[in-house]
Amino acid sequence: MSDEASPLGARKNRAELFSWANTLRSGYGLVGSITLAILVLAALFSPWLAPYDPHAISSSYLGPPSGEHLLGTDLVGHDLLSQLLHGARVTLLVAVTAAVISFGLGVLIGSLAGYFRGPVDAVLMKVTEFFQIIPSLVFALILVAMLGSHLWLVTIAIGITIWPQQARIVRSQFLTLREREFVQASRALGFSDRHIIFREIYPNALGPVLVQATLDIGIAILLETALSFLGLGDPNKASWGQMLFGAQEHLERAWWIALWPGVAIALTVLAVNFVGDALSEWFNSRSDVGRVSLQKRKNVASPPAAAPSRTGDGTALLDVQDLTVHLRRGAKVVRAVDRAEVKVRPGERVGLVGESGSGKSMFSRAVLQMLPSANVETFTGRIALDGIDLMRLNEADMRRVRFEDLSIVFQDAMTYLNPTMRVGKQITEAMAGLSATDRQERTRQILASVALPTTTRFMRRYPHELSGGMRQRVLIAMALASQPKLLIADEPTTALDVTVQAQVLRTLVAVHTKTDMAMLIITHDLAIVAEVCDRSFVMYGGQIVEEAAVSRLFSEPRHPYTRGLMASMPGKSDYRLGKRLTGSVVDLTDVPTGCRFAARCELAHDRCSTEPPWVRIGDEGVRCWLFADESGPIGRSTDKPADSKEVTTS
Amino acid sequence: MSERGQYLKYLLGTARFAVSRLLQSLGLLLGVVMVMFLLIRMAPGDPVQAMVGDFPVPDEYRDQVARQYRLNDSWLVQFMVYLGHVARGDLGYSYASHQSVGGLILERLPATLLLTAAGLISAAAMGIALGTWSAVSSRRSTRAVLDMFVLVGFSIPTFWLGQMLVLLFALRLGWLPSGGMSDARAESTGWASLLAAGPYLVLPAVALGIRELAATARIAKGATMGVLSEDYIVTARSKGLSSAATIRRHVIRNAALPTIASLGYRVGLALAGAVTIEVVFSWPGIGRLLYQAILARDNSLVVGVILVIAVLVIIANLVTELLYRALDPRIRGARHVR
Amino acid sequence: MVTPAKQETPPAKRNHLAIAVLCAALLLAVTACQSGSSNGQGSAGSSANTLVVAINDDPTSLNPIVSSSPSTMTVSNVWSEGLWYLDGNYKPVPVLAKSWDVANDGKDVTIHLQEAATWQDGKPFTADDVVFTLTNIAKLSARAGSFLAVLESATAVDPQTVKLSLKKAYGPLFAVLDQRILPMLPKHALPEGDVTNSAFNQEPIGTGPFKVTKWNHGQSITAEANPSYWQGRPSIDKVVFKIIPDAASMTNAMRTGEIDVIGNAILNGNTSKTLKDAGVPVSRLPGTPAVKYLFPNTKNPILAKPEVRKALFTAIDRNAMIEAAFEGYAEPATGMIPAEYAALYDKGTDYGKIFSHSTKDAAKMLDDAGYPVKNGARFKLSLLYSPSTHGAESVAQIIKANLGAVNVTVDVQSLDQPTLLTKVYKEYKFDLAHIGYSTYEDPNLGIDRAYRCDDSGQPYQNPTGYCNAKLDQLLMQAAEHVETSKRQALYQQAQEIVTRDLPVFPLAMVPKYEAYSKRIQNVEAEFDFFGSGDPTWARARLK
Repeated sequence: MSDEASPLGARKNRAELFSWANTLRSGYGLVGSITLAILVLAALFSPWLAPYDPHAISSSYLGPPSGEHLLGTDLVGHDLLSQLLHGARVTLLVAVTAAVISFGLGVLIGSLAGYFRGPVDAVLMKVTEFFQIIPSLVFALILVAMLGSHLWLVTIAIGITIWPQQARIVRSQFLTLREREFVQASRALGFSDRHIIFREIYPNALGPVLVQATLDIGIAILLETALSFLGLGDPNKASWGQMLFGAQEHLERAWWIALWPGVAIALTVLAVNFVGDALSEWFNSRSDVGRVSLQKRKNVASPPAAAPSRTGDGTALLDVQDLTVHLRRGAKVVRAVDRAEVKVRPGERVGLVGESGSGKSMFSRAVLQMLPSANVETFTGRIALDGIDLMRLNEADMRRVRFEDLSIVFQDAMTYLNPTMRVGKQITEAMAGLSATDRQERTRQILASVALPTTTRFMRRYPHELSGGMRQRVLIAMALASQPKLLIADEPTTALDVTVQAQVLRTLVAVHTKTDMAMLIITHDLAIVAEVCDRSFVMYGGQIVEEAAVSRLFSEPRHPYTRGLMASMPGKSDYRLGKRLTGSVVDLTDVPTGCRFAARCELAHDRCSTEPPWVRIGDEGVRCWLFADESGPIGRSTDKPADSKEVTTS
Repeated sequence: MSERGQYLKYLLGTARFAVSRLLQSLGLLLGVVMVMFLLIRMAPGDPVQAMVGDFPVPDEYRDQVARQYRLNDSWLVQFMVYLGHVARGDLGYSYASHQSVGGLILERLPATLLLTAAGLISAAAMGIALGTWSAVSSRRSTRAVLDMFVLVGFSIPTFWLGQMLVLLFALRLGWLPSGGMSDARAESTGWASLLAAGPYLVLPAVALGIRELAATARIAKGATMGVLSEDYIVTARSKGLSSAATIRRHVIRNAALPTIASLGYRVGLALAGAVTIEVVFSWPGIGRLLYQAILARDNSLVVGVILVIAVLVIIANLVTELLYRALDPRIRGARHVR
Repeated sequence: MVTPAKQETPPAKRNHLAIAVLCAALLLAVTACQSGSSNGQGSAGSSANTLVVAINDDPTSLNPIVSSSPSTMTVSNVWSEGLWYLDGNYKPVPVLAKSWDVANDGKDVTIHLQEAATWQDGKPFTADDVVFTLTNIAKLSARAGSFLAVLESATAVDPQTVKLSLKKAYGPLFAVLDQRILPMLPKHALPEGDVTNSAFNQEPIGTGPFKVTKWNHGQSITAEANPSYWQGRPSIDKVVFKIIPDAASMTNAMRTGEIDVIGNAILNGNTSKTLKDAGVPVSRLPGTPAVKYLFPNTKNPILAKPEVRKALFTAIDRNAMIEAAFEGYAEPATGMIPAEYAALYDKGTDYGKIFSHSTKDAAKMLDDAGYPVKNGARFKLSLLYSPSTHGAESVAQIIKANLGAVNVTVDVQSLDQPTLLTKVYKEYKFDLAHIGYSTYEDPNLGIDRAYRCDDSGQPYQNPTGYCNAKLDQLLMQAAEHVETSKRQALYQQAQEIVTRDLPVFPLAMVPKYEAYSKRIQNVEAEFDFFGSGDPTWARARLK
């Protein structure tokens, strides 16, 4: 908490620390690769590097490290350095060969199971289950004990005991990938199975399989070591494990016998695991898995300290000015929200409309100060709730705001409810400072207000036991529990059936009329805005492109995007104002200069290649060159009084 | 339906699930017995000689033993006879030990269970804590250190770690005993003997536990990160819960589920680890018994120990699955959905 | 009464199981407090007069006639007794036999028994027990075979007198009827027929000073003082045999005072040295040593040539082997008969001189034998051994290095003991095999078997395929004489043949060592708890 309020210098230090740790982390792979490369070189050149023949004996028995024998000698006078260097050869050979065997078997059996499915899959999975209940060390132990401890037998024994993990991975890749669009598409196009397997599935499965193959090398080294320790290694080959065999007896008198090979093994396996981890991270980063950190809401400094702490005009409950959010996604920067200005007055029901990908959800997250902090590149602007600048609050104060003044209802109730917590508890959890019985009472009231049963039995249910509409209402109930001043509803009904949608919307309106809270409804559905809201903002490409009273918005949409949205509404295709929207939402990682909608706009013209201004028209506004003209130096006659117009070029 | 009725139904469902799982496992166990039996018959080595030691076996003695244990019968007959023993629970007769295999294993089993339980449970508890910490930690440096620890834990050969612990804590510092399970001079039974085993348990349990700790930490971290990216965590935060409260109420239980699910599998690996650890620490458990049985060609004992390990793994898996069912209302309450 | 461990353990076992889970998490904390007291002097109160002896495996049976494993033998020393024991000079000293007469050229032996001797269950020890042991039980003893072959009859003349009639004189008579090979067992406690599975093997009854009372499988065997021992109650209250399979753990336990004695069957060069360095007394026992053999397979045409065998033996540095593999706790073999058989030992022969180690000589001998170096190697030999033999791993590595120096490639194969025995003695699938033999009190029992022609496929005989009728004849005659002077002459002739042909390579003689704590008092300088039948157990005291 304190570091949230700490001066900029401290922040910078911490940022540096992060970057150092980050480098180290990403450096793991490099460190591992270099270590392995050194090992392979040492193994390759061991005959030249080693000072002695690894099997030659000297008259120094159990000699400690000395000038003559840098790492000491073992019981019969073998030079440990020479054995260690030659051992690298044997150990790596065994490990890599075993990993290759495991790879081959795993890919073959996993593919068979994944491709044929059905009974073949069942039988093969039983086989892998067999290997899961007989630990691989035990199985390898028996194989080697019964068949002999020649190096190649040891290698094969290790290989055929560790493949099941690989097989499982390949199988699951098969099962998931074959349902994916591109494989379906290839199938529809009539490509052969062979083509699909080798061209589509294998290249995509490569990541996890390669990672597992790498890890298998480490597993094989550890297995060979354990087998040798138990006396089942090949005594003709001085592997590291073989060096450890017999060290037990001389542990105290000659610690060096056990130390070096153990360290070598640990370092090698560590290096292998580094590489495996790095590979896995690399493959994962390609598939772009984000991460949410709980702790920090901002990574970046607040706006200039000169900004007043009470902002905006006194009438607005929520006053967002100049809000900009840039996120990192891999190497690219996503301009999720761009200089957004939104005001919500007390008791008002305001809509925020846009297609998915327009940045509206990120906007709501930003207001709640709940951006995925690890990915935030820039987060600036002013967000004032009831006169308090949320950007300047520390985490604890922000939490209080969320607890008391601000609530949010999310889109997909199933995923936004904790599956392992009873719904009653999830609702009461959001209440502050009440006794247990009061909470119960209040919970019943809220449940009643959203038309849910108020029985104890209902409160003891888990989310998965409820219908979709009920879940959404639970979510609304949760949001209402804290009696917020502002309720943000982010696509509150999108996941529901049309009939249920209507019920939930009615619930929302009913709740609203009973209290004096304001609502910000974020949706892609203009119909909802029409039904519920007083006023609405339209968002496109991270920018607010239009602001208008709902009646006005529907009667006379200004921005071409708004018109497109209208035209796309079911049953409104004949709307005179324009055609349905075509094309797809602008790519936020690659925003064009000028108007972001220009590429999809029928009315685009040359001026659209420069950024359009925000044209304020009374209480309303639009971001489009078409309207800038109305007040521009060239001017055009309009029915609006000139003094109500204001052009802001930002 | 009443609450009690539902609960009864849940119990019944669980029982049915457990029984069907066990039945499925029976087939697998039969496979285990068959494979091991065949493998062991392929090995050279004269079991009768193993009984006698450093001297020729008198023919009279050899014949008697061979007749008694049907050593001259065909494999199939021997296999059927063996299955009969398995069904009776004595798992056959160890001719090297002149004892029933079941009895031999039962005598050693508590030691192994104690060792693996101590190692695994403390490792799992700490692993979950470390993994969760690593996942929720805002400091990348903390995460890096914890990740490093996990990777190192994964990379050290278990028995070598045991040797190093002996070297340091038993031989150099003399803090803890180097092996065995009890002081021969002390006479204690029951609780007292368990307590007396305490000092002997520390080093082997730590050596065995480090790898399991690393593994659990890794799984717990993955699971926690998975939960943290769940939408309901956003809900929890939007409710204004503190980080600590969110983690306590919403993260831990949900993240514990996959971690627990993995523990059944870890039991098998821990038992395998126990083989080398028991050799290093002279721990009188079934791991060492297996090792000795393999070297002495005590075939029925080898199969017996492996069978017991397989059963333990199956039981562990079943227990974790039942635990999972108990902790996850989605599975427990399957009645409403399906 | 024996308290069967099986009946006593279940409650404890259930406790283990039940609380294991609960305790696991607490154990670290619990033990942190306990660790201080666990180190070393853990003995207190009633346990102070307990002697703790290490054994290295859980015996398969406590009956030394059924099983001759070192742990069985060690335990049998406290509860069983033989008719006599052999002292340092191989002279019999009476135990259960009061006196004996040998007549008719050694063919008639009359044994007079102690009147006072009783079994641990109170029944008197009589001639019937001796006859029962020799006729019903001895046939199961692997080592009594040669004795039974000459035994015509054993009859009880009266309760205190037994008469043995032998087909011919039998040299090793006193060695065989020693406690080590044929301890006396009670007729009333054993079944008439098959005794291999008798409960007696788990709860034996003997005439010895201690009685086995508890067998905690895998952990320990407890024997308590026999208050009515016929030679008087022993001073020590209890002997606990603690099972510690790992040599390193055993030496550590010895140093921390957890155990008091490590017997000769277990102690090896490394452990002896470790203990001696740590100030634990290690004493060499008077008995005969174990012989570490390297057997060449003469079915391999290369090894069929005596010149090649001699060259290989010359190439092997036995002294270095003793220094390294046995850490000085062994002696080079001078010939077929170890020096400990003082009367039979041939002082004139010394392998150390005849086949003194020289890589150069060995190389020349191989060149002369028709095996010059081609492409860097002469020929390739396999070398089989079992890691369960002390020092075998090191011996194999040294042989590999030594023979490598004369361009003979050695493929080392480490096998478990049963597989090794099968491959060597039954299938002859080896070139060189390293195996150790116990020698027992008479060369006829322990030494001859490695040289006699043998195609029986029986382990621990002569696996080399070398057969020399003259040698066999000499060895057989030596067994049929009781007078040592005649026997020595025969063994000397045998040695000449062996030196000429070198069918077997004796690498080292490993004497018996014993380590004991300074707590033990009242024992002679030649302290020997094991393998002599000397009732040291009854006399020893603890400080």
